[in-house]
Amino acid sequence: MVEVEQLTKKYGEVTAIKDVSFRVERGDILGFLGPNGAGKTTTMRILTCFMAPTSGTARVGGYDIFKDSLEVRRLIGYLPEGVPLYRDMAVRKYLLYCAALRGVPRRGREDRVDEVMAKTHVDEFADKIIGKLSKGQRQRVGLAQAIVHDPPVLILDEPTASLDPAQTREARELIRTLGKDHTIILSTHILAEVSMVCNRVIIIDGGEVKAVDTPDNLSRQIRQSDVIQLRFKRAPSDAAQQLRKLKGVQRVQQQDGAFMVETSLDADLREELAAFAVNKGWGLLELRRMELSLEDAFIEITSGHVERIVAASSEARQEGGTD
Amino acid sequence: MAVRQQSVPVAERTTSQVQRASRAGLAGLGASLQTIGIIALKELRTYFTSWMAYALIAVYLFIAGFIYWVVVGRMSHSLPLSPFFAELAIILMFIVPLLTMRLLAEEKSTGTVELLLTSPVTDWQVVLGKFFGVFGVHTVLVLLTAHFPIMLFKWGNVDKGIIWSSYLSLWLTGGIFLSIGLWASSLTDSQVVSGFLAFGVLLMLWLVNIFGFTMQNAFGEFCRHVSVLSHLEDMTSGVIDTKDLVYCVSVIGFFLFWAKQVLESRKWK
Repeated sequence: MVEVEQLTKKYGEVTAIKDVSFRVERGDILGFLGPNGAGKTTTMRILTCFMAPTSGTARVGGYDIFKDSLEVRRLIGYLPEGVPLYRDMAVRKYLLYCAALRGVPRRGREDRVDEVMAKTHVDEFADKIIGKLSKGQRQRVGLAQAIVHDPPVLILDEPTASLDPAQTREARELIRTLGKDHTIILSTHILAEVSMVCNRVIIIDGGEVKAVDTPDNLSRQIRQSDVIQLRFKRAPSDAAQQLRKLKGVQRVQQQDGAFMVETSLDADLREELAAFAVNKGWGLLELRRMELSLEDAFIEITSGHVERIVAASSEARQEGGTD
Repeated sequence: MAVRQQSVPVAERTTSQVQRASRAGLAGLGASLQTIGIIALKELRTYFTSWMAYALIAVYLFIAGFIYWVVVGRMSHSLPLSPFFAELAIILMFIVPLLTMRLLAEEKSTGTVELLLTSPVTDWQVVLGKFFGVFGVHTVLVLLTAHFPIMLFKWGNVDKGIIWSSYLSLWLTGGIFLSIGLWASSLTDSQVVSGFLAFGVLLMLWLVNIFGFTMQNAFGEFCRHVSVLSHLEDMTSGVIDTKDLVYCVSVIGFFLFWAKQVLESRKWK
């Protein structure tokens, strides 16, 4: 349904995305995972024909984003980041306008808007001015406008950002429902969201695609280590090296004067580490097991560990077994 | 006063082109116009759902009434109304930047432009839709001053031809001003900057016109030629020249084209 081939976008000297390629099949819910500034929004803006890439191409439903830009835009429903809406319009009027602009025939337009409002639960404030709505309500209006012309492809840029937990759950539920008859590309920096909603994930960082897999496979790759944070009063200069030599330690990093000791999953080294530090007389100030939520794990991925994980993932695939 | 009308082959040629185009894709053209209409109507509504339009209209009518009172009251016998229309055009100069500054700048600063431009609409449709929307507000503004000449028709002795052509002139002058304002709004995402820019350009136009009047040297001559307003002064004296009409439409077209180019430039940045 969506084919992206070697998209590159440069803003002057800065490369926003580099050689991004992927495919989305009909019915897929693809999660676009990456930290802010990774190039998610840029990719989406190119796919929605808002911007042109520096090089590369993409097709939506077989139409080229350059040559048949209008056709592509007819196929797409888009929710941009931050949900920009006309704040001085009432919800129903706004949706009617969107429907008209995107070619929903006049006959049946009202019905279609009513239907969409019911689906996204915005009907309870249909006649309120958008500027007076809460963030969550606005987000729902944003989703409503994206689906009002019943496009086969939905592109949602951070659809659950700035929602409270209840609203987030609701939004995810809605997206999952929409996924039954739409092809969806959504971006997020919340890994958990991806595993709850998507059936395929692309991890993008620094403008490059780092991994493409199912959420299950990826999170298994990501959660392969525990991290314990240590702080010492008198750490010698080679403390990191000494720590690395300990059994079970995979990796040691220094961060703001603390040592992040990475150990294999479920090998609880806290006792050993404490004993070691006390023996050496380093003056142990703090020892803390980092609760590696999926989000943190993901942040780790995108801050340098990713190559390792991608390598492990491809190894696993080559072996045709699990890790 | 004679209303001069030149027969111009250009106009005929344009008509036949339109006919050919319409035969080629009447449906496409219809849909395209419909999109422009949808955007224009939305813009028009936006002005009238906020207090903006009403406030501007109120101010405009108040000043217009004041000028009318001065012009008609002071020179009560066989008056030329051209000063009245000239003054109205000058008030427009102040009001137009306030009307146009939000057109594209606001969409850019709030991000709504992204949703607009990712809808299946062309950049031309957006620019034309915006233009005709605000042109609609301007038209309302012009129509609301109609009671002044109507009073004259009823109780005075005026040349109706002059009044009509003066109105046409005012209407088109507004069009030029609005196209400049829309262009200024396409350049920035700050409404204030866009408003100032539009006002600056309009002020320059006015100054050029004044130079043309007052300077008798080559520079004055040059100013008279490029001046937008001098083309329109002919009309307020009752002469509708196709040349002037074509000129107006060309200037409007020029700034709209430029605005469209600026809008499109996001793609090659």
